[in-house]
Amino acid sequence: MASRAGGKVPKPNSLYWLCQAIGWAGYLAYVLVGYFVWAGTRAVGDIVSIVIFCTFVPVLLTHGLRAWMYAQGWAQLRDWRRKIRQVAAALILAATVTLSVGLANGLAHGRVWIPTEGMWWMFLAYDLAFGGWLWIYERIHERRSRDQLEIVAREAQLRALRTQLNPHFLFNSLNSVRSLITENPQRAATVVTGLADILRYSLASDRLDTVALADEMAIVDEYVGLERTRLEDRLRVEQVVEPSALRARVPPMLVQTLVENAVKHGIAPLPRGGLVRLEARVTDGRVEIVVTNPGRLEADAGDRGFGLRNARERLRLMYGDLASLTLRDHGGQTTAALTLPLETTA
Amino acid sequence: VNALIVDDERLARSEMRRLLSAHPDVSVIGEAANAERAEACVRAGGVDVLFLDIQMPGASGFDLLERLETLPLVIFTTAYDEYAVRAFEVNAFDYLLKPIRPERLAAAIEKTRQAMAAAHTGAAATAKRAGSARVFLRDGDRCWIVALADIELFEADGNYARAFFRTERPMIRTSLQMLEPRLDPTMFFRASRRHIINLRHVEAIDDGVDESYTVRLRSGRTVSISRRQSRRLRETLGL
Repeated sequence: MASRAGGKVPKPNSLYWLCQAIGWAGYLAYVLVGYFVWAGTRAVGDIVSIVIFCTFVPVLLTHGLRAWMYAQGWAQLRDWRRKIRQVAAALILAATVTLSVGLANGLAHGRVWIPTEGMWWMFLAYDLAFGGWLWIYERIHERRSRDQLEIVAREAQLRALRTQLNPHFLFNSLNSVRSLITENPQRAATVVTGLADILRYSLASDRLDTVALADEMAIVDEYVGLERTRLEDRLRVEQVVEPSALRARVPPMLVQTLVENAVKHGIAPLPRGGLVRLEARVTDGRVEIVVTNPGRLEADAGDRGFGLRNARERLRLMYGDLASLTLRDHGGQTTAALTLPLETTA
Repeated sequence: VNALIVDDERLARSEMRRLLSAHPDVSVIGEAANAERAEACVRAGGVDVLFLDIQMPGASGFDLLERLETLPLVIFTTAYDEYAVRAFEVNAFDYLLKPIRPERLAAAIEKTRQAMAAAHTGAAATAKRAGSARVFLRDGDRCWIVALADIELFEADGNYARAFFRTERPMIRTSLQMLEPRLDPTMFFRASRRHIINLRHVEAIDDGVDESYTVRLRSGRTVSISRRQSRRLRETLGL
């Protein structure tokens, strides 16, 4: 972003050249109009020198100024120190151009120096032009570093929104394992392996933007298996997944979160348990994932609200308006419906 | 020591039972998978200590305690619950994190033995026993188990009441009208429409205008007593 004092001069981008071209072309047009309206004489030599001194010379000078600014690390200076340098730079450059116009005029007429008519006005016009150049240059830079900051902030936000494994689930499972070690060692071994898979996936999901739904479903199955260890026959799960949906890319841990919510809020509160239904299908360029559990919405605002807000924010940052996550209750059933634009694994 | 295990997960209950089997003086007199069953067991009597899970289907462990007028000793067990653990740490409840460390369980049981021994030696005076009765108070995320004898004052606050003890003053979801008949009349006295005071916390009684009193409590708080209740207070205290 910003270079250090004595730092490298970055290659200018196309916006820089566009601004240079439009800016000095505008300045040239202004001076030419002034020349045709006010000057008593018309000469080709005048026009050529106007073109040279209103385009090539200032472009060259400001390009040099840009390199100088980077080399001296102006971006790191405090506000007022930078402003003083900018004012000085504009004055010096304006003086340089004004004097070289006089010099060129003189050489053209075989003398060293001829003060041009309206020299002070010329000086003022150049001073304003260079001042304006510096002002625009700084505004664009501010904007660009702000955009870059936003990108960095967005990435940090996304990382924070990544759903980690619910610690309550983790510790309850560990407690189940401890109990199974004496009760059913075979089963304990299976549960530990499943837990390891889920943990590994959850940690890896930090580094992945999306995964194939098939991979996510494998983890959902492991998760359901573990929850069944805890909840036993209180938890029943039904899956209807179209084969074509399995290749769709989804953000990792998102479907898992929906199923986990369904178990936590739909099944765990019911002494007799219930059925969680998971459907996934592809319809006109979208993948739809629907998780249904018994129970109504109002009863469980707090915690679930947070997890859901989190998931929505994550979707918004990744897909903008193209993805949605809605939660409804209908006839004693709560439905979470997730819609994503269809991207498939090659 | 008679223990009741309250947890919705069968595996968690059997693990608790196994851990407790290392302590021969602790006998598990029952298991409950939800708050309703647990409430029935406690009301049936004979439960000295509850091993209580917080998150359960239906009513939570906290809900159970709120329903009970007098509590057995309580040791909370929880796998991971940020809010609950914060409440425990602030108010020094006995709590065990699952999976449970046998040493921590042993320490908790030792504390239970001591608490029970203290209650027994002091049981000679009935009033004392009444004073050792404890209640569960909850205000938002925070909760307390507090001996009734430590509560100096209940003050009406809208439809609810505030309990004053030590430096705490939680709002409790019950009115003074509901509260009064549940309190021991030898300990608590209805001072006015707005206050119920604990007579054991009274430090001085000052004469007010027209035969009404002002009571100063040990904490330094003063409560004025309505004229009608002043007469009753005189009779109660035999002034």
